[in-house]
Amino acid sequence: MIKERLFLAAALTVASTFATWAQTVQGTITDAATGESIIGATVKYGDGKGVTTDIDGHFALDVKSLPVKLNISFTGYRPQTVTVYDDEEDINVKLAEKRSYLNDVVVVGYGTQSRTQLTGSVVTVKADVFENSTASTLDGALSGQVAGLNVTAASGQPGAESSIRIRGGNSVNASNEPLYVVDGFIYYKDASSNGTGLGAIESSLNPLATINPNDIESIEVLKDVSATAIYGSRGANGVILITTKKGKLGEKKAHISYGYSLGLSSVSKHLDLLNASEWAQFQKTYFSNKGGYTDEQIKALGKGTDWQDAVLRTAVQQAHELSINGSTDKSRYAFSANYTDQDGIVLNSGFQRYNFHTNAEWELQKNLKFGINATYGRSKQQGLTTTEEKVFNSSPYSAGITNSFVYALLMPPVISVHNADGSYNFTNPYEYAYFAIGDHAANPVYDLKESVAENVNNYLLSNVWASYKLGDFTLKATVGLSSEKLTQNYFSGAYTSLGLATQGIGGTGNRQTDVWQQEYTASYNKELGIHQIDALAGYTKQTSTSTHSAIRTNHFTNETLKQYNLGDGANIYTPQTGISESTLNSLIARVNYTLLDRYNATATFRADRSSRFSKNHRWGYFPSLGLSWNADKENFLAHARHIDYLKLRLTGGLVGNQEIPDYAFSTSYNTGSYGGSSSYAKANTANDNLKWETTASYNLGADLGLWGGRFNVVLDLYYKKTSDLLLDVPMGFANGVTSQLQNVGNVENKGIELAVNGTLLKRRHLQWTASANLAHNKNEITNMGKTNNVIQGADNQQILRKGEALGSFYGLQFVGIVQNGEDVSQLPTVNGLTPKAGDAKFADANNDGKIDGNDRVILGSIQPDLTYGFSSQLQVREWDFSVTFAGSHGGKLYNALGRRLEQTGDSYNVLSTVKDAWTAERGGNTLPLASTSRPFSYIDSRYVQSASYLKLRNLTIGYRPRLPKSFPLSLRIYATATNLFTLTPYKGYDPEVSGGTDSGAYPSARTFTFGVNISL
Amino acid sequence: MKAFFTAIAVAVTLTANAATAQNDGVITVKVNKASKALVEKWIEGYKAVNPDVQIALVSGKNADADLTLVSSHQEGVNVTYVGRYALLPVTSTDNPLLGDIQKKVWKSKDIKSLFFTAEDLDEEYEEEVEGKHNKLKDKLTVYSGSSKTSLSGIFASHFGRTIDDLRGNRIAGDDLYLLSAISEDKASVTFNALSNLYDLSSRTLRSDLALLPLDVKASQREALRSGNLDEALELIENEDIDLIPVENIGFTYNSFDTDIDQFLQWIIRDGQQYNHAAGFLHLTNKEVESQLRLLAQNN
Repeated sequence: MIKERLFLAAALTVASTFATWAQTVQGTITDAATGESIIGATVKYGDGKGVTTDIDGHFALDVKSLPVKLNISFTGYRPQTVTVYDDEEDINVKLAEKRSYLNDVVVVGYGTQSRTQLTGSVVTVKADVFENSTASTLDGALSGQVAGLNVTAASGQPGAESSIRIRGGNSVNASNEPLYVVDGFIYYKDASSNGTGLGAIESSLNPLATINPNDIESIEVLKDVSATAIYGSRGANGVILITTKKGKLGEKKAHISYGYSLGLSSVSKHLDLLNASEWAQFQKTYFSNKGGYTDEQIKALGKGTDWQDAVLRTAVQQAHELSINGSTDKSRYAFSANYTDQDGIVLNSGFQRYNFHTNAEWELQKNLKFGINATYGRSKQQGLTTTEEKVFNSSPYSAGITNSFVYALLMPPVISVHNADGSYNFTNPYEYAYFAIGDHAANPVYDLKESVAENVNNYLLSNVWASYKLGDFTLKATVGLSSEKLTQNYFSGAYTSLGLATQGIGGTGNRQTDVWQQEYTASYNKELGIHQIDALAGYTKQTSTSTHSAIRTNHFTNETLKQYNLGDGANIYTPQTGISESTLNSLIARVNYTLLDRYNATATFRADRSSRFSKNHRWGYFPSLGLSWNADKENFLAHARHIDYLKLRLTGGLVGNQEIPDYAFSTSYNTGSYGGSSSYAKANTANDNLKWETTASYNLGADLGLWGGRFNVVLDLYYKKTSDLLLDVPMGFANGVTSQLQNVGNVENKGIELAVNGTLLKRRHLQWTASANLAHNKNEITNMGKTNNVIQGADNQQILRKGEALGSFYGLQFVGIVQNGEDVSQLPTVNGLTPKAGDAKFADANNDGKIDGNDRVILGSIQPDLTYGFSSQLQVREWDFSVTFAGSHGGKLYNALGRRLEQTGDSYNVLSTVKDAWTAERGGNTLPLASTSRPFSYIDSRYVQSASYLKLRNLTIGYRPRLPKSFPLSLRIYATATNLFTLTPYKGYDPEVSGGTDSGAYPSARTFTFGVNISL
Repeated sequence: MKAFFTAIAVAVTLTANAATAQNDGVITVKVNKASKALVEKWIEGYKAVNPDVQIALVSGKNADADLTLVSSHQEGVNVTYVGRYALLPVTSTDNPLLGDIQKKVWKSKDIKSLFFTAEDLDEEYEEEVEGKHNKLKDKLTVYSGSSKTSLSGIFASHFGRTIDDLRGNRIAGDDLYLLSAISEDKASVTFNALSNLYDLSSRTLRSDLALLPLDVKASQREALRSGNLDEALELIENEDIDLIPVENIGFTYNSFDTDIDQFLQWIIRDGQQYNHAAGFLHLTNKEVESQLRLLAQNN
């Protein structure tokens, strides 16, 4: 009994002592702004003993007694001291982030990294840019936002692709588009695979239309080799990492938002064409006056038909958007659905899209996570048919009439759209049978309304992943599928310009593209005193299969069902079918090392094995090294009052470009029919030496933050040299092909980029920020091997030449008009003839006394000298204002449309500038005497025009009414003007036309949008 | 050995009882330390006229109760308001900077500047970069609470800020411990409810505390400077002083029945007489009517 009592006493004593020594203080550390748990925060007390928070931000500390003072800290946050007096409830500590640009965590290839440790040039574009923009695709919102990222819309057609260049173009025949990675999954923006072999449809669907801009949380633009080398053979053109919105872990509530917008668009610029009276007078003065108009009749004609207005319209666009995101302790999710319906400003054109996106992850067990990202949607683009294929009736003019919109500009204003009875007018006595058969002439309004030129894309982008944390290691596996089915529908009836000669023509085509991707990575993260190591290694495999088929028929007897009744077409063209497959196996590795939080090094290596190259050259190796120095942490700058941070970066390495067609290294044949039998024609001749285009890239950069985060500067200097340039080299007849893809020559890009942003005012009810960026890039072909002077373009307007930039224009230098009394004997001859008064004069570049192709000179290039952007946001109480400007200076654009519209004749309308053409009475020095003479076959400097511009891209005013607290929602209403004005010397519709030739691109629109966002 | 396990079993049973504390026929009430004296007085007064009613106080983080005293508006929860409290900024009489503190007349912007992080970048810039330091501010540590029942959020929102904007150090535990914190860390300031600041028996300001002189009318300043609780209560009840946060206290309920209704009605009608004794303000007449009307609707 005594023993038992003694034991009880001892046990109680031990228990009591244990209780004294092991009182447990526990709690959670969260981010004050986001509410997200902070993993790895340090909680220390007294003599320095401490713990770090777990994956839920939770900590538990055994302390001897209360009160106890806890010191809580985490990199990038203000430390917090909490004295614990009782443990009646768990401690919830919210840490506030230190306001500094370098505290950002940025998404990099296959991971994330603190900006303080970054060595590469990475620019982050945050969600508010996309929220303020009403652009239906993300490229539309990116313009002007990033120094060195140049976005050029292919046209104003809704849903059309853009050309995006990061630090200039590197390649001639391989793609110059950056690589897109959506939530870690590589997504090709390969416009070349957009076709189905059908042709006849002018625009192609923007591959980025699959991503709804409002789903985007942030975009990281990786510009230099240290950042892009992890993508190896696809990193040469820069990488754009897209991170979509997710729920915030630990927040434990759902956010629901709905947005609706309604917009009205109209053409941003009208071309000034002759009206009916002017055109008839012009015909009577210079030509045969086919209409037989008297002066009185000419006066009575008035304005006549404005065909430009007849094919343009005020277009309506609307969008609905629903998004839900939230989280629990162990999971987070986001779901969104959106519908966009955008009419184009040209008749019967437009873009519709519905899109569903989900992004979710779960912590299945401790350390084991599983996630899924999926986007499913359908885009439909109604565009214009193109007359480029009108080979059956080719003429010197047909190449200048690219589509029915351009044809409308050329229509004589004395011709009406409709007859008196309201039916379409198909009579045009001025049409010289280029777009007329017998009594029937094409009517552009009918063409646009009745023709079909559709791109329909059904797509699924999906990936699933699982990660397992094993101590300092994290293992991750991702498997994904990008599956797209593109359908193209085309129909031009017997009364349309394309269908006139064939009594109607139609077709349909399909392309199915499936890209499977697997990634297996292991990463290691460890902090050892003054050393911090972050390493990654992995294997990835990508398998792509693309099949396509297309069929066309003509000679229709019944057009009611158009392309859905192709069997009605009596003549069948040879069906087009095909398949291509490619694989890319890769090994990746990266080590980031940081010493003393000051000195950072990143070494990256990627080895790619691509099936697109010949057997001997399938492996490509892409190493890079980046160094950076956080100079502000050194003693000599630690007390500099005005400097928040100063980082210097230096990187170098190799990246590649494999974006060429499959099987370009091997011999291939095209099928066809000849004399009723099948035939084969050689399409490509084998090149066993075909290998990677490799870009060596170097970057020197600095990040500077001044005056308490008020002003941030990023400056970069870079040099890129692309070797083994992939170029279609002209071949001799003996090879059976006209050209072959070879590795020839080098291209260099060197430039400087400057980006600044600042907070001008930040008060509780008044915040004003501004940012600006400026980039200069010099592009030059430094070597073309044995090949030089490769002339390109429908009008032979461009040239590849050593010492010049890619996209250089090549033509005659216009020097004026021959005037009355001028000594023409001193002028060079043209086609053996001495020019006469009223003729155009060109520079005799080689001084041989005659004007011919040898007098052509470089007339500038599509490469701008400067690109720049400026944006500013102002928030005053419930009101917000934002403005975005984008500009480009020094680039040139070939105004083929302008050239066509200043070519005088007795069939087509012209620009009103021809009223100032040379005449014997008043002279003139820009346009020659009006005549039916065909233009010189070489372009001249008048039509290689400055493509410099300054655009007000976006102006938004928003208002968030203060609602009673009992209202469970918040509301924002806004109005946005897009493309409100453009300052440019360019004489066509819009200086933004990718490719450098404006042969009648779909004009850009000015849009006013009104919208409402409701959040619960 | 048997005795040991018996002792453990007894301890566990007692703990469990304390935690649940809800028994048939007994109204359980959960309060924080600052309000405990007031609620005890209400229970005592109510039992005096209703001797058969059983009312018990419970505490502890897992404790469940019929009524819980809350010190702020609760989103989406029915609250019956039963009194008001006021918050005053305070320091220790042992504060080496007391002279400087008391020399100053504290305007709203001074209090904001002392207690909160820089409101805008301009202010932060001036402090951190240009070195335009408020010397007194730099030398004083602010203490505020982090527990769910802390009045720190009320204090912050009165000055247009959030609890996350409060400078300095936090404590975990009842707000009463804020006064312990400033007595240990002498060069510091905090704020607290009158019920904690004043000695309820002597009706005077605790001898170890000194109020920050506020920029109020001379007569108002005098009432606060007197250190007399009743003068302070009368002043705050009768005059609207922008620098002094005043907020309701009330009960949320897990269940509602006649007993609870009667108890709450009694507090609103008759229990107000005890509020001053415990350092709390009366409800306004308008609020009394409003709360009785709401209780009637609950029935």
